[in-house]
Amino acid sequence: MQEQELRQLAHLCRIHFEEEQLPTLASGIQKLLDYVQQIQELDTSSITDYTHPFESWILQKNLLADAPVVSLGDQSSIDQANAYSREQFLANTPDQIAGMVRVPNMQ
Amino acid sequence: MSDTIAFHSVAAVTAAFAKGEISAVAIANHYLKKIQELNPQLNAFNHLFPEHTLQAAEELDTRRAKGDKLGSLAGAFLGIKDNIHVAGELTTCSSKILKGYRAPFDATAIAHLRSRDALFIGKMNMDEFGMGSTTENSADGPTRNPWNQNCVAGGSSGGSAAGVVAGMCTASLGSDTGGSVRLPAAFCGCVGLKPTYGRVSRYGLVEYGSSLDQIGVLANDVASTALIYSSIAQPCQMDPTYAHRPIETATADAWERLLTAPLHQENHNRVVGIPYSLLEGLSPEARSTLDKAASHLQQLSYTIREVDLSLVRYAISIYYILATAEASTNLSRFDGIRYGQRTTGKSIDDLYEMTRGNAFGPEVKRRILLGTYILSAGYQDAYYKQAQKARILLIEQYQKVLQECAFILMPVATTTAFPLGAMNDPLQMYLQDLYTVSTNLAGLPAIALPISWSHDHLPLGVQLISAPYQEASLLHVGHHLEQAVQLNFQKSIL
Repeated sequence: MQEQELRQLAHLCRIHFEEEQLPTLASGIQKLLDYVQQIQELDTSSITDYTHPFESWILQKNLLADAPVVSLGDQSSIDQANAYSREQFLANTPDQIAGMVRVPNMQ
Repeated sequence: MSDTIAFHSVAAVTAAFAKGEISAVAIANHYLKKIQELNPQLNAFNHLFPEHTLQAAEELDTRRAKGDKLGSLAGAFLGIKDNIHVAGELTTCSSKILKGYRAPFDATAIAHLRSRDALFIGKMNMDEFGMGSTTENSADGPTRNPWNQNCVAGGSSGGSAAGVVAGMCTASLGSDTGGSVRLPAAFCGCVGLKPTYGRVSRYGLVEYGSSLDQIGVLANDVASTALIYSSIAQPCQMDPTYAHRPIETATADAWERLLTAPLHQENHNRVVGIPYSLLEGLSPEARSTLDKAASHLQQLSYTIREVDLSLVRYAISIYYILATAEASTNLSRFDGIRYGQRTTGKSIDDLYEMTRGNAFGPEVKRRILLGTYILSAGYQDAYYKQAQKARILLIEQYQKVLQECAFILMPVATTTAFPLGAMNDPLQMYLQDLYTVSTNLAGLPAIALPISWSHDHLPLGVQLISAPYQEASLLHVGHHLEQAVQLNFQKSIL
């Protein structure tokens, strides 16, 4: 991986790196990419269409469910308790103004 | 009086509380004292809220005094991995970017524990956002192994494992995306259960790899694991991937009957598969630990058979492609606008880049870069799509093996816990996950159990893997294996 390619990738990720970090980072990422290349050896031509990797086993089992039908009565009280307010939401934001999240001028 | 209570056992401590032998406040003080003594060295907890814990304990004592009917976990004090929401308490995922973030709601797993009157004692240290195998990638500093403080605790739920083993809480919750419950359980010497994908709601668990993540349990014995597990594998309407297969409520007595029942009453086959061809890289002690577990299983009248899981060799590649792709998407929400820390910048892009550049640790940045690269135009087919297809091949191989075998026996790690700082090459670190990531890729449940000690007195474990939703069978055979091994782990160690 070239440093220029990494610079562009870092921008796509919206992560700032110092210039002097780039060479080590690029060689580290390249090493990982070289390793995961091994999956190209696998013949996956038998796998054609799928929507989810679990569909043939786990999800199908759920559909066939021998599991009992569950009353969700208990859960609704949990959902109720979990409803939270504007104040609680805003308390976690880095900057607020007049009950809203303050963001930088977009220009 | 409190000296006679086994504070490391969920059944023992809840029974003692129910019988009135000890108050909730006294139990809380027992753990808080342990934490005060040991946490400065071990760093298992990164956030504590003793006032809240003691207040909740007082309320529980008042309810007991009034004769209220109390939940099955009344008297248990749990530690919670710092990526699971406990309403009103900090959730930082051991990351600078979530410094000061307070959970606005309970994770479903927490709500179910709370409804059974379990109390919470603190949040537990982890690799930032779950990304690591040692708990060294934490903004709050590394967790140390209780048996040798120069060694890592394993990760990413290292705090959850170390805290349980050191007796700082009755049991704990962790999360397992690629082995993050089982590896620290093995390195610290406790039981670690990773349930089937979807068995436990992920609502309120901060996402890392959404198709892999699952909340799991760490405890000092199988019976405690079972009690906590059955309390959290319960209904949720908020997580669309929840499987809607809740466990029938199981009391301590019911679990004891279930776990101690003879194994031959189980209506399944008696074959345990071992993928011997994958064991080449094991240290001699890790190999003899596996052989010891196999021989105990034979004495429990299981037949050992070699099985073909050759695709597990590709699991690390598949995992690091899919997990980083999912992580790069999931972590895009941490932008300095809505949560936690913000570094101001000249423009909005500058703000994003500076905030994320300053507040994410090096491993998280590396995985976001890798995942974004994998998903970028021109590479998506070669990496992401090929890895998804390879994942399906791996699942099919597991499915074939688990049609022949009741369980698969595998190591958890190639060695015992290694010294802090010893693993500084990312690829070497990723290769540690050889035996754990494939079960996440296949969505299967697995239980890690301590089996033996190394020459330098560090625990060694194995894991048993089963078909989906066979957790009760894993716990059953796990309990018998635990009894057979009789490792006699000292529970209060320092």
